[in-house]
This record gives sequence, structure tokens and C-alpha cells, in this order.
Amino acid sequence: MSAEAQVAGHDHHEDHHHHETFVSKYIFSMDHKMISKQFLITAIIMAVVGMAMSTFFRLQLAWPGESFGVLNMFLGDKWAPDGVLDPNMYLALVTIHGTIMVFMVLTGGLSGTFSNLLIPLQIGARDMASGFLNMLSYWFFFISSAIMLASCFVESGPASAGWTIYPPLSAIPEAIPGSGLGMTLWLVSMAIFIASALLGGLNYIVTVINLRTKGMKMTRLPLTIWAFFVTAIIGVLSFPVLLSCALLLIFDRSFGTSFYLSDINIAGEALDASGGSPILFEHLFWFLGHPEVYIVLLPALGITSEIVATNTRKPIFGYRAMIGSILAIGFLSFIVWGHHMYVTGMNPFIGGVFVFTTLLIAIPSAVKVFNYLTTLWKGRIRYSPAMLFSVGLVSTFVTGGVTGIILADSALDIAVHDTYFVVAHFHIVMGMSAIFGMFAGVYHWFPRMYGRMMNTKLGYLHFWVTLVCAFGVFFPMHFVGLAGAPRRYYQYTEFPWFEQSMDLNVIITWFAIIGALVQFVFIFNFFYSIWRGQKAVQNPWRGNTLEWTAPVEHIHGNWPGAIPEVHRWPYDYSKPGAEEDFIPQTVPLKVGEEEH
Amino acid sequence: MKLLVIIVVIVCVIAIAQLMRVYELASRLRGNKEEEISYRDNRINAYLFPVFLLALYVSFFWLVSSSYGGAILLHPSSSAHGEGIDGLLNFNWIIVVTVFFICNTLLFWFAARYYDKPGAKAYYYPHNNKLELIWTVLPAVVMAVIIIYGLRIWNEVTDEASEEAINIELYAEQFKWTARYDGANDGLGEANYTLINMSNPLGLITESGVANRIDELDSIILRQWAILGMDSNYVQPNMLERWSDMGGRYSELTTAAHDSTMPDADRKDLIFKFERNQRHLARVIDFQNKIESDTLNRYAAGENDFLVQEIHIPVGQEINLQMRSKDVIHSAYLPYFRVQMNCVPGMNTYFKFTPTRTTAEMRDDPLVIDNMKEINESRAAKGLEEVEFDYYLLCNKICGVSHYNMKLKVIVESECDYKKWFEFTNFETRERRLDSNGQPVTYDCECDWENEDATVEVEGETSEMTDELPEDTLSIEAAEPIDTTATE
Repeated sequence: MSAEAQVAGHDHHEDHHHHETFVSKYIFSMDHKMISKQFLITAIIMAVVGMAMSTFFRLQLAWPGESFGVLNMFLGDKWAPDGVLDPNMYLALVTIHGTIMVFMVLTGGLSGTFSNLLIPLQIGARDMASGFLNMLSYWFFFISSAIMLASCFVESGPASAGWTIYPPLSAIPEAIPGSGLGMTLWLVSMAIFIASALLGGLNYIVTVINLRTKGMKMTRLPLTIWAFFVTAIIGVLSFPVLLSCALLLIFDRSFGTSFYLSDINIAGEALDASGGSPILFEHLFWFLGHPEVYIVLLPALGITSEIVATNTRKPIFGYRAMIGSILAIGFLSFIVWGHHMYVTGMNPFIGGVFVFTTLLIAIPSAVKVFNYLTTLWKGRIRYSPAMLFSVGLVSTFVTGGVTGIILADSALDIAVHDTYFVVAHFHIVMGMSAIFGMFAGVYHWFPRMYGRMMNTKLGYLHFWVTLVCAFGVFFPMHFVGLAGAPRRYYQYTEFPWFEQSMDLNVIITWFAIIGALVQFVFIFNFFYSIWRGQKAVQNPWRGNTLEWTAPVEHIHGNWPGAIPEVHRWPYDYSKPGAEEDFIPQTVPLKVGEEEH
Repeated sequence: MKLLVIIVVIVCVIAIAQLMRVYELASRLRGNKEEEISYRDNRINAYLFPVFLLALYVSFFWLVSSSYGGAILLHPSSSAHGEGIDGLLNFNWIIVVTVFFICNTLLFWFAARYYDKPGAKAYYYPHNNKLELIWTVLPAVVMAVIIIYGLRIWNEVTDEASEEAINIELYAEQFKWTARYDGANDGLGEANYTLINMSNPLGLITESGVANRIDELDSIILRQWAILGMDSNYVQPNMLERWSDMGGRYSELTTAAHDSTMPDADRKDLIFKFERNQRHLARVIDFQNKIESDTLNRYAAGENDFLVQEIHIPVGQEINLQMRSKDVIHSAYLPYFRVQMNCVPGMNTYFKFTPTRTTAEMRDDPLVIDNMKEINESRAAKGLEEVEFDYYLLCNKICGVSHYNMKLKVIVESECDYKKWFEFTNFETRERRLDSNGQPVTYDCECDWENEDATVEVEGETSEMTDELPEDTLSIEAAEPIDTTATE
């Protein structure tokens, strides 16, 4: 509707005079700002669940077979009799932790929150192209999250074949109890999640293409929008493949087809299935699975670009190169999925091709890192918590990213595939970077979301403990992995070799516990500030982008009067000749002023 | 108890909220604003970055130099191709560690150096095409080198196994490994999953295996039919014919009682299995027909294959592992040999390697001795028995509840020891094996083991093997290698 209003050149005054009920304002809201808050709070709840699960299985890994009251308290007598974690539950926790974190928190939570909040506000639109689809996107996400949580309470346990749910393990209930009803619910939840991601993604793409305000050329878009835009394109192209992959698995599970199954003899019975291939599943799964990494990572990088520029009071270095890298990463992300499958029995020649394409991604990634570094150079850095997390992100992106070179090399992957080295790699480069980007975004745009400021001192505490714990958990994991310790092992007591890295496992677990506890500082700060935080001014960080020209109070349609016009790129910070150290995008170019 | 915990948590949160409130009011009275980060805060945070960086570097060097890194950081390779992989890894490490240090140092240095302080000015520096070109081309060149080097090693590793390689099949199932050796050097026999039963755990297509399975399926199907009340609706027509041909045996097998009180769900399930077993039986009978008309002796190969739960391999000889899986995906992972390959149901996968260090050599290696000492001290503290070094095959693809404990011991030994084991340990008859020409198999072996008074352990017993050797085997010319599997 806002689109129509814009086309007709109307102001949007009427909208916020409409009487809004509690339900239409807070629950079935079609306002992008409210929907973004809904996404964020749902994601925070899911993140707490996912994080709690990880501390539970870390307890078992550090002190195998020992009894913990807390496990019994949360998991009950069935899954943690006498406080000792059941091995099936261990696998279930690992699986659901991965699923929740990758999809619910870092895809739904990150893209859902910030694409929704920032796309209309930063491109100068009254709302998303379709408010209704946007609302559906959130509610599908909510239902999918609810089903995923519900699956944890079924009799046979939640899905436990790993978040990659490779069949036949995920297809046959006799293979593992979690592949019964738990797996069915997992698949239903994911199908609904994919619908949510597609509705959201289509909306983001259409909005960015069609609803930019006057003067907002593509080359004047903030890097956040570029990142969200490319992310949405990746999502729209790859999620349908996961959906078809999941549908075929549903067929195999329930209707007796054999797309993925062949020559299986389990529990003393030979099955009928013949001619299918689990490798087909792996191809389809990773065709989404790898782009998914960038669906998670690109928004975080976009957020960081914006925050780094605002807080160093410098333009982001190499704006066009940054856009180029985002596009290059987006394109390459589609042709590298095979690097997850070097040792699956895939033709070695194809493996070689994937080595080539995978290592190419290092180039745009390196460009991004060098550009961040140059942006920091000779800056005037203001350490808001958001800026701290952005610096943290660059560090995790580098530290986790470089080990990708080793994993991309098929010959080396033979030695470390599916070990803790991989776990360390992707948790740092994808998990930590994305979550740091998310934290940075929340601290930075909290005044834009709730009209209040978050407490800075608690933000500092949160950042420093989180940073130390992030490295404390995942840095030593590289070494556990290099010793050959496979992932998804319930305990490492069965092989004498792993005895030596047991001390490291204990250290990792302690960091994990502290890191988990300190997140409650953030959650406290977040909810406290919603109601009690200091009132925000309109442009607290003195940023250039359009969202800071809108009033602090949320109104339907974002701007009370006409939509602001854009005259320059968003990174005119500390421009020579200007009075202030920032020039908002709405300020026209002076006579003779070069754009950049 | 739980209630108490919840109450305490809620009270704590309220108390903290009130403290925050007091703190904020005080700070507002002083006129502080959250968005105005003070110079002091900037300075403190900026100085914390190098402190953190130093801690990160110290922990890095500690991890690399302590036993966590030094001794176990990819323990030295025990295979020929593993050395190539280790060389590539070391090359990559140099690049990875360099980039790690340069980028993190620059990042934290800039973060610590350019914080906002009174009088500071930011430098407007939007782009520099030359600089950007340099750091696009530089990583591209480095990547090109890594790709070329990496692919060279990859091609060596994944090259096809040579003709002389010893073929060993690894068969994975929840949750154990079985290895199959080619007994008579006529190749590993074919297998099919419908043939799997107690006496034929790998489902080999052999005359006895097929006959045995047909009997078993007949009796299962007939029992199920009897329980279903001999309802001919679910029976394929050719089955009825078959049973009428069986005569007396047929009625013997159908003695199970009709169960009319069976719940519908169970009955449905039973009918499903009943029909499925008939389909399997048809396939098995098909195998029987194939064996009967097998003029090329294609299915004879399986007859002499033998199964073991512990792999013995000779040092310095190429081993070609052929992998299959019975149920779900498993992965054969031998970290010391730099070997890893998934075992996928419905297909065969392969990995070839040449072991270079025997188990005994490893046990004498000073590095391994140190490691084992540490491991055993740690085990002793937990009250576990002392262990010696051994190679193990691990499962490295999530496969179910006991995934963490799916292992197979691998023993690398000298060629002679291997031959002794191969020759005597695994045949029930304990007789010399015959090759396809009916001649006793001989070996081109320098140690002349056939003439030793070798005392070989056979399934827990000890026996004087030389006594049982037929006289004539000793006179066969050892110089003429008939058996290509075990020589070279």
C-alpha cells in the first residue's frame, strides 16, 4: 500500500491516525519495524535454547559420564538419568543446537530483524513492498520455531541425525530413535521455515529494486542494503532446493520411494529400497547448505561495514570494491558446495573443480578484510559496544576464515574432514562472526528500534567477556581436531589417543559456560533498556543514512512528511571542507563538490 | 527446590534492575549520555585490544608448543601419500599463520592506535584503486599456488590403485566394522544385501550362502503366512507353485498357528513384511539361477573370502580399501594414515594407501612413547588399565547411538608376520590355502618363514604350524610367484 501511496505522490499522514488495536499493533502487525522486533525477540529466545543445549553437551564432553544435576533438571529422568546425559540425547542436542543456531537465530533472526528494520528505513520507503507477506513471513518463522521446540518433547526424542540430516540415518526410525516423529517434525518445521525465508526474501528484493527514494541510486545504497539484497537473492535461489531435498526425504520416509535409499539391511530386515543414492541428498542439501553460510555471514558483514564507517568517522574504504566482493561472494557461494563432500566417494575430478572454486572465495573475502583494516587506519574510532563487536567480527572473520584454506584443499580435507578442526573453523568464521554482527546491529540500532539507548557499560562487559570466551572455546578446538578427534562423538574415552586432549575439552567447556552466562548480561540490558533505558535522540551516532532522519517514535509510514530525497552516498564522514564530520545523505551536494 | 531456584533468580533480576536504575539516575544527574562515548571509555577499550591480542598470541604459542600441539598436531604420518599431504599442510600452515598474524596485528594495532581523543581528526580516504588492485591480485596469486600444489597431491592420492595392491573390503554397519580378505587370490566375491543373515553377515553371493538364505526365507515366509491364516490374497502365484513342489517340507514349515486376534496395525505390518520377503526370495532365487549358469566362475570368488574383526596389513605394500555399508552412511577414518572415505549404502567407495610404519615401530618411536606415557598417566589417574599404542579405524560420520565407539584395530606388521597371519590365522581348516589351480599358495619371501618353527597364534590357541604343512609344499619353487596378491 505504501508503494501505491508513493506512486501517487501522496503523503502518508492518514496511516498513523488509524486506530490500532493491541492485536494489529503488536501481534499481526504489518509494520516492518514491529515485525523486525518480533523477529529479534523470537531469535533471542531461540538463541537461549540453542546456547543452553550447547552447554549441556559440553558438560558431557569435558566430564564424560559424570552426573550433573542441571542436566537432570532440564532433560528429565528419561534423557539424563541420574544426571548423566543419554547418548541419544547427546546427538539430539547437537542436532537441534545446530539447526536452531543456523536457521532460527542466524538466518531468521539476523536477516529477519535487520533486513526488515533497515531496508525501508535506509532506502527511504514507507514500508516493505508487501506488508502482508512480511507479516506472513514472521508468523511462518514463529510457527516453524514453535514446531522445532515442540519436537524436543516427543517420546522418541527430537531429530538426532546431525543438522545435516543425511539419510539413511534420518530416513529410518530403526537407525536412530530421533528419526521417528522427531525427524518428521524437524522436516515440517524446516518446510515452514523455508516458506518464511522465501516470503521475506522476495519482499526484500522487490523492495530494494522498486521502492528506493528519489536519488537513491544503487551506487548510493548503504552497504547494509547491498548485503541484505544479495543475501535475499541467494536465499530465494537456494532455499527452494532445500525444500525439494526435504520433500524427497519426506517421500522416502513416508511413501516408500527410494530417492536416497538403496540396498539397506537394518535391524535384521532387508528393505525394499533400491537404486537411490544418499550422495544425491548431499548434493541437494549442500546446494543450499553452502550458500546458507553466506546467507548468515553477509548481513553481518553489511552491518559491520555501516557501523565501522559511522564509528571511525571515515568513509568505508573501497565502497565499490566492497559491493563487488559481496556480489562475487554471492555468485561463488553457489558453485562450491562440493567441498563438503570430498570424502563421500564423489568423483575426484569433480572434487578438484570444487577446490578451485572454493579457494577463489578467499579473494573477495581478503579484499573485504583489507578494506576494513584500511577504514580503521587513521580513523577517529568511537568505541560504542556496536563498534567493539564490529572489530571483534573482523578478527573472527580473519581467524576463522584462514583455516578455510586448509579445509578447501581436498587433499588436506582427507586428514581433518568431520573433525573438531571443522567445528572450530565454521563456528569462528560463521557462528561467531554472524553473532558478533548481530550484537553490533542490536547495540547500534536499538535507539532506532525502541527509542531508547542500551547501557554502554554493560555492553562493554558483554563484549569483552564474549570475545575472550569465543576464542577460548573455539581456538583450542582446532588442536583437538588436528589430533583427529571426530565431531559428534558422545565421549572420547574409547580411543586412548584422545586422552591427551581431554584437558583442552575441560578448558573449552569452562569458557563455554562463562560465555553462555555473560549473554544474560546482554539479555538483561536489552529488556531493561526497552522500558527503562535512557531516551534516545534522533541521530545518536551522528550517522548519514536515512533511518536517522525519521522521528524517534515509530509511526506507520516512517516519515511524517514527504520521504526525504537522497543527494549523496552514505559515507561522507570527515569530508574535507565540511563543517561537521558527517553529511547526511539528504544534504544536497554543494556547487562544485565531488560525490566521492 | 526448583521453585526456590526460580524465586532466587527472579529476586536477583529485580535487585540488579533496581541497582541499574540507581546507577542510571546518578549518571543522568551528572549529565552523561549513553550515545556520547567518553574519551576515557574510548581509551580503555582501545588499550584492551592489544592486551587481548597478546593473550591470543601467547595461547597460540602455548597450544602449539605444549603437548597439545607439539606431539599431537597431526601426529607424523604413517603412510606414503600422508607425507605428501603433510608437506602440503605445512606449506598451507605457513600462509595461514602468516595471514592470521598480519591481519590480527594490524587490526588490533589500528584499533588501539586510532581511538577518538581530544583533537583527533579522521582522514577522509574513500578509495585507492592501485592499493585495491594489489590486494586483489596478491591473494589471487597465493591461491593459484595453493590450488596447483593441492591438486597435484589430490591427484596422487586419488589415483587408481595398482594391480598389485592388496584388496581388503571394509564393511560398515551399526556399530562395528568387518574386514574381508581375498582368500584365494581370485578377487573379492560379489555380495548383495538381500542375502545377509547370521551365517552370511556380508551377504556374499556363494552357493552355500544363497541356498542357506533361500531355506531361511522359505521358512520365514511360510511361518508368516500361517500366522496370517494362509490368506492367499498376499501371495504371489509363483510362490504357491513353489510350495506345492516342496511337498512334505512345506507342511512342516507351516505349523505356526493362525493368529486371528492380532491388532490391525500389527497385521498390516506383518503383511507388509510378508510381501517384502517374497520379493526378496524371488531375487535370491534369481541369484541361485545365475550361479548355476555361471560358466565363467564369476561367483566362485566369494567362496574363499574370509572375514576378520581386526585388520592386519603388511608394511610397504599398497592396500586398496573397498568400502560398503549395510545400513547408514559411515566413514572409515584412519587419522595416522591420512585416510578417510565414507561408506555409503548402495555403492562402493575406495581408498588406497601404503603403510610405512609398523605398529611395532610406532611403539618404539620416542614421540609415541612420550605420548603414551602421558596417556597412561592420565588413564591411571582415572583407574583405567595401561594401554599400548595401536592404530585404529574410527567411524567419522554420525551413524547412531554408538557412533563414538565404532572401531577396528589395525595392525601393520612386516611382510613375513603378515603372511604368517594371513596363511594360518583365518582358515577354519588350518590347512595351506590352494590357489585357483589347486596348488598350495607360495610366497616370494626372503625370510624363509615356511621353514621356521613358527609358533603362530590361532584364535587364541597355539599350535606348531610346521607339523601340519603338507610335505610337498616345501619343495615348491618359491622363486616363481604364482600369487600376485601377497608378493611385492
